[in-house]
Amino acid sequence: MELMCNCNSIKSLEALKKLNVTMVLVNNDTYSSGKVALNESELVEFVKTAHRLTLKVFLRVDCLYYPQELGALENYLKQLDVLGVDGVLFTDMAVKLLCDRNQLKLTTIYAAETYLTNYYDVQAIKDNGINNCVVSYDIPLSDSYTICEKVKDYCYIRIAGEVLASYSARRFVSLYLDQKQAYLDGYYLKEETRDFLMPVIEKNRGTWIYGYTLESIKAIKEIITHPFKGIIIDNVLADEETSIAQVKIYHDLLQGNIDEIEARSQLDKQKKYIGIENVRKTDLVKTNEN
Amino acid sequence: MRTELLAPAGDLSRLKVALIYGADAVYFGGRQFSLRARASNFTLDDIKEASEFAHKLGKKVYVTVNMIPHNEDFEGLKEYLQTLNSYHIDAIICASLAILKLAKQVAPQMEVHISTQQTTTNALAVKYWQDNGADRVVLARELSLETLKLIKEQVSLPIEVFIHGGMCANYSGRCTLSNVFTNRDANRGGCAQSCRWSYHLYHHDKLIDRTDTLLSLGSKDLCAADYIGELKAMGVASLKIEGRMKTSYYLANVLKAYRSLLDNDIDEKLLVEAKTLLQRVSNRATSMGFYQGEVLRMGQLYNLDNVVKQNYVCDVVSYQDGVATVKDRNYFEKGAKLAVVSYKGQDQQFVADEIFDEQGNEVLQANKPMQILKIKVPVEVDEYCFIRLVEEQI
Repeated sequence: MELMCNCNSIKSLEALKKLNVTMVLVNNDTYSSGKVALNESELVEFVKTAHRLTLKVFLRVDCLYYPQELGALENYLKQLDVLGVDGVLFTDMAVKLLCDRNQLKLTTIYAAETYLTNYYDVQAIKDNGINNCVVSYDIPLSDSYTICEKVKDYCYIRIAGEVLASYSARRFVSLYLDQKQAYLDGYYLKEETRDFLMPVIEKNRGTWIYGYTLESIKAIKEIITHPFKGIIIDNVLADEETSIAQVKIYHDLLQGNIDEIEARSQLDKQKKYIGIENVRKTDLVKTNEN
Repeated sequence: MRTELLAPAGDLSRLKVALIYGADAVYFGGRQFSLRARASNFTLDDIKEASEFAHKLGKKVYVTVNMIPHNEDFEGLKEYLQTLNSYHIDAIICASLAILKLAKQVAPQMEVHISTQQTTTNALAVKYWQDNGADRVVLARELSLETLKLIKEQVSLPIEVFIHGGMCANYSGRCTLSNVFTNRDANRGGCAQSCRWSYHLYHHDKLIDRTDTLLSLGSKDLCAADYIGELKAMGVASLKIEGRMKTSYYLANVLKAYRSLLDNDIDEKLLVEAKTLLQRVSNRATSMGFYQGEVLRMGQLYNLDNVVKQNYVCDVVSYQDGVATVKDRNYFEKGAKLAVVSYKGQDQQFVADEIFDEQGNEVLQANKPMQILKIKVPVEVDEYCFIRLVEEQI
């Protein structure tokens, strides 16, 4: 089973390799959600180092794209292919069609997770030639198990990290503050009657708001007994040091170096966590507010 | 190709009003598989009647099957699609590749339109759906007119765009704010509209709220009246109005406005008349959405300043010998200046000289919603007409 985690620094690669990570997920300034990260020139050295360590490199190409930028996106994907990048995590079917049109070797992982809530849709995208997918973070674990049992060795499951709550073409913070900047980080929203902060990233192309942070300390040992293609630890907003520390928690737990109580004590205390086993079936009408 | 005017309907009576007031097609949800869980929604018998009613008028009906389904939501779906097919439903609107494929397999006579829930923003994404058998794509609402033109030039599949009504703050189908806050599934019809709530803003641990208002993600409603001429000229297949929860009165006015813009050469006078109709029924501030490009601060709704319009005062129930039997909806009084809103032409103003209840007692103030009343009107009316207050009294 693959273990994918976010990584945006060459310096982190060796540490991640030692924690049994097999795939790293990299951000790009232009085409990725989340924090600003590697530019094209930094990526060349990153890929070489990762491959030397037998780590696969996946790029987060997970925005929605407009006609005016498809030409540049196509060139970018070709460039990734030439660099030997192993694949892309995407949410806009244009990415898949551009890969096909140019016969790129990039592995395509569909990660428009709000849509991947049932095995019929997962099977349908598999039939369309998409290499893999990430199942929705918004369904109970039992539903994820059903999906991966029906479509074996195809699905990744997100087990830890910040969960995206919304993606918008509007620049909410800039509009509210009436001051426009190309990139905003370090901002948080707090709904006026609730007590938790929601991280916000804003770029020229819009706003990403993150909700709770997922953890799988109780469930990880059970999850890996199911036929998922891989698991993802994606602390997309964290710095490199914190990201590695979060991966180490799961590594040590699986190796038997620490128990659940110790693992839980090592989680970042600033976050609002939800255990993956506690993700409930969503309701259609008002029942019980979180 | 004639551009279609597509209207929402929350129930059978609203569907009939929509078609009478000029919609070329109407969309609505059944009791299952649809978003807008709180809309009244149609039983199978309603769907059959809706189909027959529309087809007699030479118009079309589309059924929304646009939830993002979970494993168990597929139970009964095949039979449901076959039933819709047997009712000669013209199309379903869906947001799931699996539902598209199933519909093509079991109900091949029905078209399948891809919902805006899939946020299709470019021609390649349209092609993806076309390759999978879709007959039409409802594009994302986050497209400028310029971008729409580019897409339209590059695709052969009919495209549909929203022109009026509520806007999601986030890309539709890709928002789980409601799920996070309330566990109500935005993608299965339970959206709590959390984007319209108020939020404090922090930079790191410092509260940086403005003094005048809290932050809201909420959007002003869309009004694309200024763009109808260009959308028509561009050959967009269908212009869609949002609002399956809206009243018949709302639909009547909005449809009169857009029907007029679609059927005539648009000049300043026509545009002003249409906007007056639209303004009459707007209950939130409006903006041009993304048609003009990036949404600016004025496109956001910070103070939740809903405008409750109470100019809609009666539904017409029946008419005989110059007297309309009406159902009261909002306050008005004897002597009020009223107008008949009719699909037959311009509004006709009159004064409510005499108002009676069902027992023949004179009523000085109509202040009991749903009470049956009788008032003299100057023109023949029927159950598809409405009575409103004339603006200057509001």
